Formats: sequence, C-alpha cells, structure tokens
Amino acid sequence: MKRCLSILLALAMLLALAACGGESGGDAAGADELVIWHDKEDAVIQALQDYLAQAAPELKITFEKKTSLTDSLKLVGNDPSAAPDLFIFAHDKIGVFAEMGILSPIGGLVDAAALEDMLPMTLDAATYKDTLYQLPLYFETLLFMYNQRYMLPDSVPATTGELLSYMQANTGRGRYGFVEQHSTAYYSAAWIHGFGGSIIDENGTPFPDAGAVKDALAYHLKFVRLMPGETEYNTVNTLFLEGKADATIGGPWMVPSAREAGIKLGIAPMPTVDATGMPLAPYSGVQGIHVLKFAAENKTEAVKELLAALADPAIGVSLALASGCAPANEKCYDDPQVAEDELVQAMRATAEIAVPMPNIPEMDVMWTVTGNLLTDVNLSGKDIDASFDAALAQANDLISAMK
Amino acid sequence: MKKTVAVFLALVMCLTLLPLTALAAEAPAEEAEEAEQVEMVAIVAKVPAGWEDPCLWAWADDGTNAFEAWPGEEMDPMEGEEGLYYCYVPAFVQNVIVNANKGTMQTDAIAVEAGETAWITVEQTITAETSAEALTETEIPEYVKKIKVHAYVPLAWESVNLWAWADPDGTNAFDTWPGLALKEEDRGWFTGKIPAWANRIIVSGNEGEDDEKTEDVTIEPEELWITVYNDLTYDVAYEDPDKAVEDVTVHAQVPEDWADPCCWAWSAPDGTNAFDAWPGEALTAEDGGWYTIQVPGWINSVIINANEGSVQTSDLAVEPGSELWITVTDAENAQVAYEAP
Repeated sequence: MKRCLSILLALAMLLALAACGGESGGDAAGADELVIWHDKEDAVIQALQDYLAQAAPELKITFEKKTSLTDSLKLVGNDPSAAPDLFIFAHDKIGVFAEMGILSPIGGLVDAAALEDMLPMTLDAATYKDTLYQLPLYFETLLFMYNQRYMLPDSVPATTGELLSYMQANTGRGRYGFVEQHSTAYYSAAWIHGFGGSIIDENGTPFPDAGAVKDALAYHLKFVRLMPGETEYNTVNTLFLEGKADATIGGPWMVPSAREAGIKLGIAPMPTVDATGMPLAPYSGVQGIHVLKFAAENKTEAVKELLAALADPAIGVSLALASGCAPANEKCYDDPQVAEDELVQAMRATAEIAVPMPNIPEMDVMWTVTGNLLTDVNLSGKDIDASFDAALAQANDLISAMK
Repeated sequence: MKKTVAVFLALVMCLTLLPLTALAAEAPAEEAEEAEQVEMVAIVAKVPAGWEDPCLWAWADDGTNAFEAWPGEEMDPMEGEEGLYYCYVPAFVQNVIVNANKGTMQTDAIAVEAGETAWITVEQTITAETSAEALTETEIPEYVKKIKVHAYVPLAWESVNLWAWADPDGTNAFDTWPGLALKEEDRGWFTGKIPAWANRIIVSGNEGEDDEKTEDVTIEPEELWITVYNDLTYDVAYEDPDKAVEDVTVHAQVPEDWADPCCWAWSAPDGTNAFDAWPGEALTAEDGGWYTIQVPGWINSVIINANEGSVQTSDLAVEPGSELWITVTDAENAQVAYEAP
C-alpha cells in the first residue's frame, strides 16, 4: 500500500512539475536548442528574436513568457527537465537564485573584453558576492518627469527646496504641483540615498546609517503633506496622465502613456537635496540574461555563442530604438538615433547617480519593513524615532529568521 | 399612342417626385432647426435673502423634464431688481421648483400655466405663490439661447473672466472687458454662460492683469470645457474631460478543467492594474457556460487564469471601453470578440 502511495505521489509531483514548465530547456532538448524564460513586453522580445536570427542563426532559441517567473523558477530551477536554460529578468533576485544554487556564474561563459564597455553601474548590479551572474542588457531608473504646459522652463526645480516652493504655489483646486508614490520603499529610496543613507548595505545590515534615514523621513514629510494621501501607483499615474499633477517621479514605462494622453512631457535631472548637495538617487533595475547551471554545464558552446551575441552593442541599439530601453553597453549611446532619444539619454545620465537595487536575499524583507515604516510616518503621523526603532527591530528579527 | 401617353405620364410623375425627394433630404435639418426653436417662456422668481444662486427645475405633467439634471437651470438676476431672477423654460412646462444654494434649499412643486410667463414669490419657508401679475415693471430680457463654458485655469488665477463675441460682425456678449466673472464650481472648474451665437472667447485671469489671458479661441455653439495651462495654451473639449470612464463587462468561456477562473486586467504600456494582486478578481458563473466580470473601461489588456493562477492565457490586447467575449480553448489559444458569439 505504501509503495502504491509513493508511486502515486511521485507521479503527481512529476505532473505538477510538467505543468509548471511548459516547454523546458533541460536534457531533453538538443545542445543547440535554448529555452529562455522572460516576463518582458512583446517589443523587447521581438527585437531580441530579430537580432538573434541574424547574429546566431544556428541556435534554436525559444522565448517563453512567464507571468510569475521567479515563483516558477523557485519551484523548478533545479529540475533540468522543467527549467529553462536561461532567463531574462531584473538583477535584484540574483542573490536568491545564487543561494539556491541554480545560477551559473557567467565569468567563464563570456569574453572579459566584451564586458569592458558595460556601464559600471550595470556590472555592479549583476555581481553578487564578487561573482558576475548576469549579462546586463538594459536598465531602468526612475526619472523626474513634468508636464511642460504647467511647469514652465524657469520653474523646473534644480533643488528639492525649489521643488517644495513649486508645490506650495501649485497645489490646490484638485491639482498637485508634484506627486509620487511617497510611501512605497522603491520610490522613497531616492530620498534616503539623497541624504547619504540606504535601506540595506551589501552585508545585509538594515538601515546602516540611522541618522540619514531619519533625516530623509523628516524632510520628505514636508513634501508628502502636499501630495494625495493615496499613494498607489494607479492614483499617481492617473493624476499625472490626466494633467492633474504637474510633475512626478516615475519609470520610463509611463512615457508612452503620457505621450498618448497628449502630455507635453519634459524630463529633467533629479533635484539636489539642499541640505546635503546630493541628488535624489533612485534605484535602478538592470535587466539581463541569467544562465542556469545545467545549461552552462551541458550546452556550454550554445550558451557562449548566445552571450557573445548579446554582449554586442548592436542589440542594445535595437532595444533602445524598439522599446526605449537604456542599453547597458556604453557604446550604444554613440549611435546617432540613440543619441537623439531624450528618454534614453536621460536614463543614461541618471545611471551616474542611480543605486542598483540590492540583490542580496535579505532585501526581500526590507521592502515590507520599509513600506511599513513609511506608512507609519507618512500616513499614520507616528513619531519618526519610535517608528524607525520599531522598523529596525523588525528588520533584524526577520533577517535573523532567514538565517 | 397609349405607349406615348404612358411614357409622358411616367416622366411627369418623376418630375413631380424630384422636389419631394429634395424636400425629404432636407427634412432632418428642418426638424433639427425646429427643435432648436422650441417656444420658450419666462419664469420669474423673487427669492428671499440667503437664497444664493437660485436655479429652476421644471417639468410637464407627463414627467418630461425641461433640464438634464437637478438642480436645473441657473436663473439670471434681473438687472436693478434685488432678489428677482428669471429663467426661460420650454412652453410645455407645467410645474417648477425654485431652489438655491446648490439645491440644498427649495420650494415645493409649483404649478404654472403651460406657455405663459409665471411670476413666483418664494417665502422664507418652502411655500411659494404664483401669479400672472408682474412683480416688477422692469422688462424681462428677451430669450437668448445660452451655452455653458467651464474653464480650468492656472492656480495663480484667483479670479476668472470670460469675454465672448461673434466673429466677424464683432457683436460682444458683455458690455466691458474682461467680461463675465466665472463662478468656481466643483473639481476646480469655473463656470458661466454665454449666448450661443458667440463663436469666439477669451478666458482671462486676475481681471486680465499682466496679459494673463488666452488668445482668441474659436468655439462651437455647445457646452464646452476649456483647460488653460500655465503657458496660456489651451485645450477645448465638448465632453466633460473629468467624466469617469464607465466599467465594461468581460465574458469568458474556459476549458472544463479551469476551476474558479479569474480575470487580471491592466492598461499597457504604463502597467496600471485594475486589481490589487494576481490572479485578479474571480469571475461569476452565468448561464450557458459563460463567466462574467466588470472591469474598468480604461483597461486594454486581459489575462484569464484559473486554478489559483497556475494556468493562464497569454496577454490579450483588447479595445478599451468595449464589452468583450473571450473564448479560451487552452492556455495558448483564446479568441476575443466584441459581439456575443
């Protein structure tokens, strides 16, 4: 009876894994057949397919879109029969997958010379514990965007003090001088970095500079009071797209919608914090290709050929032109068409100050901890010191529990 | 001979029909013109102190309303007559309610004679008296069809005025620049009425100081919403730009082994989601194997999923604002239709 039960359970597990995988890379496929999971928009994948058809014609590459890519990888990443060979995703999960043991370092798979032209910020992002785990393709950062019909050229703020003055003069009658997702960790991080602080350091220490974080929270509160209490992405996005907010800090993904909505869009450098002389420094997300261990060991030549093709500046140019992506390869910005793209160039400029999202596993808990801290301070009006102490204690508890 | 007569008669008939055909083609335009020229009669009301911005709600005994929505048409003050306001209503009106202070104060229903000017005196209570006798010797201004103009203006403008005229003859709607002072309404819009014959306007701020004004704006004779930006450029719309987009219904048919189907919907490429978290909202089972759900009208992308989000369609691009029917054959195959299959 027990044996029957075991067989039944094993069968059930196999069926579940098969369902997760769809088409997989793994041992069943040929050595020149590569399956790549992704969660990207069609324009990005089309550009990659068109480019690879020319650059690596002998490879049989299948792109497979996964809505919950990271969850699926956690389930089947160690199973060559269900896992892909490679996947395209942001760099911030590298630590999780490296610790799971499913990622292959790419140092031995790509020529070191091919990495020389990558923007340093993108290589920093792709490195975990001194090992490179991702070939960066392009990156995203938040940008300071404004409606040129409301925020006139002489009003675009160079400093946060000027931004505050603008907000005070231009908020009322159902409209806002500036809006952002003020109580979301991803957006608030720019303000914390502008005060020299950080949410977590590379060793996994939460809020390593407590004073900087508390100063940022106290200063940011003046701006929060001039913004809607509702901090959801949909609210902020809608206010800006409907012309009810003059300026915002948002991602490049907002740009096509803003242009479609008839917004005369301007993009400006991030304002500098008067007190520190440092700019608001948003997180950056570096999108790149990751190699799973099985593929690195069993399809080595195919993987090397693919990575060599993707390290070429030509694909970065294609992605920039097709989808407004900011290429990781610095040489792409010399292309005349890319040089004319205001949005791409703005992200290139922001790359100088942007902070790569931490890619260590401990960051997973900090999103929630920081979100709660922001809610307490910005939305519930709680004392900054007490809220910070509670958040720090919670972070330490959760990180200890992870170990 | 018979044949010749027949041909002759046919020709005469055709010639007779030609003007009728031409008339038939003109008929809708005439009807529209007639509709424009509905007989209007004046209702004059004397309201007590404290009744600000009086409006008139009016209807016929058969329930036909004269105006679209409560509190009805804003009444105009009669020049030089304190507390006296007038408003024109279609001649079919047999009942009115005078109200004020954004509809928070009102009379009971007041019966009036259809097609006749009515004079109403509103007491401090909700009662009112109506009479055929004039309350003043001042002449009621002639009926002029008016349109509403709504203006959304820079925050630095503390007051907003509207200048209107007919081009090219140069007839002005108001006596002196900067014209009608607009009143602040909900959601930051300023509103006022101008004669429908005006085809040019200028919106100005702070009494027109420092050249705070738009250029000459050409308009159609319809209610309009003008947004004036800080750079003094403008957009004119003939539908309320703030009007919420209505929800639409998504119908879906899914394979038998797709349990508890859900809908995930968003606006691409900005990524605004209709629901808080994956897998979205559960669909409701209807007759005939269909499931339905209401989604915001602005979404343009949909995923139908089931089994707690473990099985799903690919991203389905859909037309915003349209009711749609999705037939899911399997995870890779789904058909979208805009009419019930």
